[in-house]
Order: sequence, then structure tokens, then C-alpha cells
Amino acid sequence: MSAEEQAHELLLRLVGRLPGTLVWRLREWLAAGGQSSVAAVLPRELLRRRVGLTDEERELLIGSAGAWGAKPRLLDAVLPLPAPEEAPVLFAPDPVLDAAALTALAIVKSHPGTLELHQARRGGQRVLVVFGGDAPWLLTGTLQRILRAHGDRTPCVEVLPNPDPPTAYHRAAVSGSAALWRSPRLATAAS
Amino acid sequence: MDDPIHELLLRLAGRLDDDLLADARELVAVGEDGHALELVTAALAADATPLPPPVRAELVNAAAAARIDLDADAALAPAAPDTTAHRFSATADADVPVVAAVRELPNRLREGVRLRLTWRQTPAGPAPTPLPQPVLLVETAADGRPGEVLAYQVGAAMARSGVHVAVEVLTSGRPLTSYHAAALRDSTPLSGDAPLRPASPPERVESVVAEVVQQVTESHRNAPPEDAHDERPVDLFAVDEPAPRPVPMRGWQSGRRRRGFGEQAAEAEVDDDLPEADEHEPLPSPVPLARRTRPRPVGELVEQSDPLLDPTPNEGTWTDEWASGDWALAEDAPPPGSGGLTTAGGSAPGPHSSTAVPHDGRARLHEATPGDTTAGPEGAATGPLSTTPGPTGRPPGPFAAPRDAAPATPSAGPRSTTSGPQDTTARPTGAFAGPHNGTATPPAGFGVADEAHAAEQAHPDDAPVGSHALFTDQTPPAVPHSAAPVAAIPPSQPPTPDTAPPERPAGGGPAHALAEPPTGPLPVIGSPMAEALLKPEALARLSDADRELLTRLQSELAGGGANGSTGPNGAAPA
Repeated sequence: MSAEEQAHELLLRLVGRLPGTLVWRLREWLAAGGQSSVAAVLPRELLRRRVGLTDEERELLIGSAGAWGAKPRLLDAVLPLPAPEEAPVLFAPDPVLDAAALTALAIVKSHPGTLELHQARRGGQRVLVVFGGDAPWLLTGTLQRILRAHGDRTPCVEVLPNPDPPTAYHRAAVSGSAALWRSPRLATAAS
Repeated sequence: MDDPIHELLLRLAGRLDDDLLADARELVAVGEDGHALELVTAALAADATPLPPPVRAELVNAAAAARIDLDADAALAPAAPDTTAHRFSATADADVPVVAAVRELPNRLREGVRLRLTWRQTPAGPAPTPLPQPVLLVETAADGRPGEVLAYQVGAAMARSGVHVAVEVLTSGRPLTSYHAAALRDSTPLSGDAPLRPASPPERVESVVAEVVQQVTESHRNAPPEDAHDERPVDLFAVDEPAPRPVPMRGWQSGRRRRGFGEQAAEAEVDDDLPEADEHEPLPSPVPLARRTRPRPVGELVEQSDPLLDPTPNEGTWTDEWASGDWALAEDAPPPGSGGLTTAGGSAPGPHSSTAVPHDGRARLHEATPGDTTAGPEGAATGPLSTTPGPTGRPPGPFAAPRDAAPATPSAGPRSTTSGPQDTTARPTGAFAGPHNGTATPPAGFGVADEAHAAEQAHPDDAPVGSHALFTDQTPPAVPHSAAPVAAIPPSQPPTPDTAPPERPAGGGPAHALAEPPTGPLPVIGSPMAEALLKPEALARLSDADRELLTRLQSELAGGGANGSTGPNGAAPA
């Protein structure tokens, strides 16, 4: 797993535990190739906010931010967490294909490896969930910019490279979402 | 003294997205400078945003001093000249909610500051939000609240009202970045501080709230209403000069501030301002001047005067003049701009108004009466115009002839009757008759005025005279105009653009801007509407504010006389 993949995976796991305004920005930097920026900011933010990491998550942090130059002292200082913290989150399906959703749909369909696009609302906040996709951090960045351009100041885009949602947050998002698109490959595979 | 990090963030405006800037300013406001620098540096590094060498060096030093984890010097893109030119516009469809939100700002935040609204038409940062992006320009005194705190508080208050606006707090006396200069150049003044406009009765202020909303709305429908000039607050931004290169904004505490309507006493300001003009290079205008001065079709939006309620003289004009360097010209010699300046041409020629030619026409008209009008503090003195010296006490000089001629004309009668001591009554009346008459039916007497103008231009002493006229002319000098122009200008003499530069016929510089009547940009109004508005019975029901508006409308019409809109004005109310 590349450093970018590890960083993307770690940020997926930190959704709901770090502020959305910070998560989208870290993803933006990751997509833009700002690895050193992620390495400098992510460990600090974990420490400032006292967000602990499980061992698995810590490995992801070391494999990404550590590889990009984060100070080991800071990485060691991150609080250990015995088990993932999963706060209950409610999502409502949103099948409306507005301009932002249509644009996102066009991008998702054209991105290699994507399988599904779902849309949900957490409160009033739009949440896009994408299954599959190569270089998921790049797709995330692109979709975030699309949503920002459509007025979503804190875009929530979850590109899940694996079929299994990594956290309770994503499981709830998937179960509470409306499917906007499914890849024909998925239907073929199912049959 | 603002926090140096806040100053640095000002220099980064337009290079980062507004949300990040707001976050950073909030962090600085609460003392988290290091955190702010960390985020800002990381964002700039991730996006490989090139920074001008001085800004980059400042950021690197600040980041090092804050001991952020990121090696700023290594992570940031190499320094490069600033090639980003942001464009702004003074109005947008979403004016109403933003203005309403500004009005909802707690008094504590509005005290002692000047507010202007502009709309950025260009994206900032790699993940921009929809355009245009509202930008609220806040000017505070050097000894006022810290800029970063004010930015944070105003931004938070606006967000609570559901409006996300970029807040840029500029401190008087500090240099302006090109970003902020461009923003100022195409911005709309908002009434920022109640304390600075004691003349405005509270009830009046309240009554204008709805009016403001209506104004903004109607302006977008191309049916431009205007508000009263009498309540116009001092416009600090008008006094200060936005400039291309860092140019210190003038400290408004110094007492040099533009007077509101009815408190015109800023005569000395012109002289004070002019000398600084040539110290700076012309401001590169992101919006071509020609575009802003061309005739506007009826359906086209124009900048508004203070949408909050306090119409401040259109700053666009003087910023334009700044850009063109005309005001430097005006300083040395009154020449082309002199006419405009003197005329306070103002009134009409807001930057947003029409073409140069119409402006010139108006300028000349005003010029003829200028001195005259200006004579009275309110410019309302109708009868005694000719004899009344200007506020500065200067003799009429070249303007004596026009002044004398004006009252003598038949049309002067009505004016004097309506004017009286209350400039408010006089102004409207004059407004209706003045400009329009001048352009429509140029009478003989005005020829004198014109000659006087010509003489004025030829005279070295004209500059002072012009300056004087400028200030006094701030009041909608319509009254005197109405009479003089009508009677004086020979019918065959069309408004000539000879005295003013095509782009900025109205005049040349801050001085001119100061002298400009409190008119904002006026949308072109159809002559039928003007005709209806000018009926005596309709006038009788008008408030002072409405009359002010009509004054300006007429000025606009006079400027666009070419299209025949002057017809109705010929029948000025008696």
C-alpha cells in the first residue's frame, strides 16, 4: 500500500473524529500532491485535538506522514486508542440529481475502477459515497472541488476503495444513502 | 498596531481560499499564530502557489519563528512575480442578503469602521467556492481594534446571518495590496458607523433599511432608486487612496474626512490630497476604465451608492482617477480634470454613469454653475449665488460671470423660491431643472459660464478655484445649475468633451471624488420615468432623499442628452 493510499485510508477512518473543515482540506492537499503539508499538519492536529489512534491507524499514520517527514516525536505522542471510536451518525438518502450531483456523477463514471455512487444527507450536509476507484485520493480531491464550486463549503466525499466500509460512519452512510449510479461491471459480476 | 501575521494574511488574500483565510485570522485573533501559519503555509505549499519574493520571504520567516513543522522555505513554490490579477465588481445579484446581514451586525462591530462591499469575480485558491465571492472591506483606525479580531468577529457575525463573506480589515495608514486596491476600486460603500453620522436621525436610518433593500433590488431590475445624500456618512475609503503598489491609506482620524451631505466643510481636503497623488504610480485597473465609463444601456446594472442607506459618493470615480493618474494632473494644473473637478461633476458623473461625452457635457454645465452653486455651503443658495463667495472665501473669480448670469435667468426664479435656507428643497428643484435644461436647451447665459470655464482653465489660479468649487459643489448643485445652464448655453453649443479626458470626464482625482456630489452611480433611466417624476405634484410628495435621487437622475439624463432624454427635463418644475 502506497503512502498516499495509507493516508487516504487513515483520513477515511478519521472522518467524524476530526472536524470536517480539516478533513476535506487534508484530502485536498493529499490530492494536490502536498504530502509534506499533510505530514506537517495531520500529526499536530491529532495532538491538538487529543484524537487517539488505534494501532492499525497509527501504522497508517507512520506509513504516510512518517514517510513524508513528520517528526517521529510527534507521531509517538499521538494518544493510543484501544478501539475505534464510533459515534452514532444519522444519514438520510438523497436521490436528487442536482447540478452538483450530476457533475459528480459524470466524473465518477469516467474515473477508472469506480463501481457505485451514493448520495446521502447528514443533517443538511451532502455526503457522496463512491465505491471503488483507482487512486481514490485523486478522485476525492476532484469531487471535493466540484462540490465546493457548487457552494458546499465543507465537502464530504468518501471514496471507499474496498467494498467493505471501514468504519461505522461509512456503514451508516451507505445504508442511509440513495444510489445514484452503479457500474455496468457490477451488474455483470452480480449476474 | 495590527498583528504582523494579520498583515501577512492580508498580503496573502486572493492567493488562498477565503475559508482558510478566515480560519487563519480567527486563529491569529485568539493568539494561535503558529497554528494559523501552519495551515496557511501547508495550503500554499500543497497548491504550489507562487508568491512574490517579499511575501514568500516574510512567510518563511514567520513560519520559522513560529516553529511550525513544515520547512516553509523548502516546501513553498519558488518565488515568482505576482501575476494574479483579481477582478471585482461593485454589485451582484446577491447584494440584498449581504447588505441585510451587514445591517444586522452588532453596533459594536460597526462603530468606528467604514464598510465597503465588493464582489470578487475571480477564484482564489485551488478549491474556490462559487463566484462572485462577496468581500467585505472594513477600514479601521490605526488605534482601533486589531484587524484580525475585527475580521474574525465580523466574519463570524456575518456567518451567523447565513452569509459567508470574505472580510478584509484594512487599517488606516497601512499600505494596500494590489488585491485590496482592486477590491476598493470596484466596491460599494456601506454605511459602517453610526457614530460618524450624527446628522442622521435614528428614525430616518431605520426607515431606510427597507429602502436600501428596495434600492438594491430595484437596481438589479434597472429601475434605480437612490437614497438621501443627507445621511451619507463620512466615507473614509474615499479619503484614503487605494493604490496599486502599497500605498498608505490615509489616516482618517486625522480629521480629514469627507463630509457628509450637509456638513460640507472639507475644503482643505483637496489640497491635502493632491500632493500625494504623484507619489504613486497609476493603479492598474482590472476593469478597463472605458468599460466603466461607457454609456450604460437601460438594462445594465450599475454600481449603487451606499446600499445600506448612506450613499457615499462614488469611490469608483476617484479610484478610477487614481488609476489613470489624473488626479496627479489635477494637482499640478487643473487642466482637463480641472473642469470636471470644479464642476464636482460630480454629481452626475459617477464612475458608473455614462460616457465621457455626456460627462463632459455635464461637467461643463456644472462648471458654469459650479462656483455658483458651490458658493453656498449647501449649494442651495439660489438667489445670492452670484454674490456669495465660496466657503473658502475666495472671490468668485472666473466664476463670477456665470454666477451672476445664472440668477438673472428666468429659470432662476423658481429655484430661489424653492430653495430658501433649506438646501434640501432647493437641491431637488435645481436638480430637476439644472442639468437637463443645460443639456437640452442651452441658453445664452451659459455661454458665459463656458467662457468662464475656458478662462479658468487658462488661468494658473484656476486650480484653487476649482478645488473650492469642488467641495462646495458636493451638494447636489442642481439648483443653480438648473437656472444657469438653461439660460446660458447657446443652443448650438453641445456639451463638449474637450475639457475632460474621455475616460474620466468627471474630473481627476481624489479631490474630484471628494468634491463629487454624494451621488453614486446612476443607472440610466428612461425619459418617460423622469418626466413623470418631475411633475410638480409628484415633487411635492417627494422626500429630500427622493429629490436627491432625482437630482442625480437628472444629471445622468443630462449626460445622456444625446439620446434625447433631456426633453422632459426642459420642463423643470417651476
